Amino acid sequence: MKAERLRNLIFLALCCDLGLFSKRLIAPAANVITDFLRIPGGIGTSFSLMFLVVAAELVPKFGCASLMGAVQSILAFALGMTGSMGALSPIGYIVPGIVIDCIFFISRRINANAGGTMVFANMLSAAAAGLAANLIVFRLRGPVLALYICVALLSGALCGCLGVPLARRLKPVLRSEGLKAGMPQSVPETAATVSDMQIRKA
Amino acid sequence: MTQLLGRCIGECRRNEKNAEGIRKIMKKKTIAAIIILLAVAAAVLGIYNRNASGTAKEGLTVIAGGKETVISWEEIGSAAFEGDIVNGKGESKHHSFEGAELAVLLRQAKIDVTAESKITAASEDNYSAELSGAEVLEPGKVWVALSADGEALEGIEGGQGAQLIVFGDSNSKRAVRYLKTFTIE
Repeated sequence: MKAERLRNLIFLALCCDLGLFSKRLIAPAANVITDFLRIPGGIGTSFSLMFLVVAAELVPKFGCASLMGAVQSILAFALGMTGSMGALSPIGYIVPGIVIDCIFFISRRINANAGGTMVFANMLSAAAAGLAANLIVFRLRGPVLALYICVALLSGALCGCLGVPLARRLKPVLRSEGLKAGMPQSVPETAATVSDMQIRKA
Repeated sequence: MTQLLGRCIGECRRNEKNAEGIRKIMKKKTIAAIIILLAVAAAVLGIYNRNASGTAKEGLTVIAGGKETVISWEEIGSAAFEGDIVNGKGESKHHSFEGAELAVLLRQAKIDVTAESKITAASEDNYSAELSGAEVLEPGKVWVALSADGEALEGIEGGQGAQLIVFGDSNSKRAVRYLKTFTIE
């Protein structure tokens, strides 16, 4: 297996786990806001989807977000973290993944700005997750549904903004040229140049 | 000539950089505007939602003849009653409850029930049980409990909840927890 491909897969797996567990981590804080607004959620999902968006930005392959959603749903099943959706929870994980993939696909076609794409992908995927949950479990209607989707879009936009600098910092690490014997190519070259200079000075 | 060409190329590059900078600022401004708009919409809807749910009466919903009537938890009251409940394993246990008899509640809400009526009791999680009008009208048989053995019953998401109690059943299948709705046909 190519080193780059392996590195991408490890990064996708890491983002999967981060997305799944970060939801639980921020749930108490998110619940304070959602309880106040009397809606069933939306904030934690946006934060967890941020990792999928970051991964989709850094691994430019169509379908990687959907794949990550599928892996997350399997993990959720295995760990009993299906939440209120029960057996239908894969829909709640895969649908946002498909939305992220579609947005990145269109964005790459039209050569759109990466930051804007990340924000919109996070927003729309959070809204899609909210709509899927509403269709399966909550059955909200009218202003409550509007508020639920609005909060999902808003938290999605904020999390998208949070993901932009994260992706910018990770990009040089993940998009660097191929690896040689487990070390970046630039390191031995620099070491060689320094040692050459030392020899010349001597 | 070379100098002029170089100056032109430099000017073009500077203009391109400026245009790119302006484009970036515009994109940031668009995103900021969308976030502000969404925050305002969420605040307005949040206030509306809180006010709307604050005025909504919490309790049991009775649907009869296409009309919905809400009987609040306070209206149900706390009449004490007790009896034996048979669980799924066939074990009989004595319990004491507080609540009201269903027939009395329906009478208070001015809802007519006859022996031929069919009553469906449904929970918050859509579990349902059927009762006949004759059963409901039988004194001391069908009750709505708000507390059991001294402990208040909770709803599926906390708060006050209710449970349907049908004395004389061979198992507790009709003891609907998280009771929410009665539909009378």
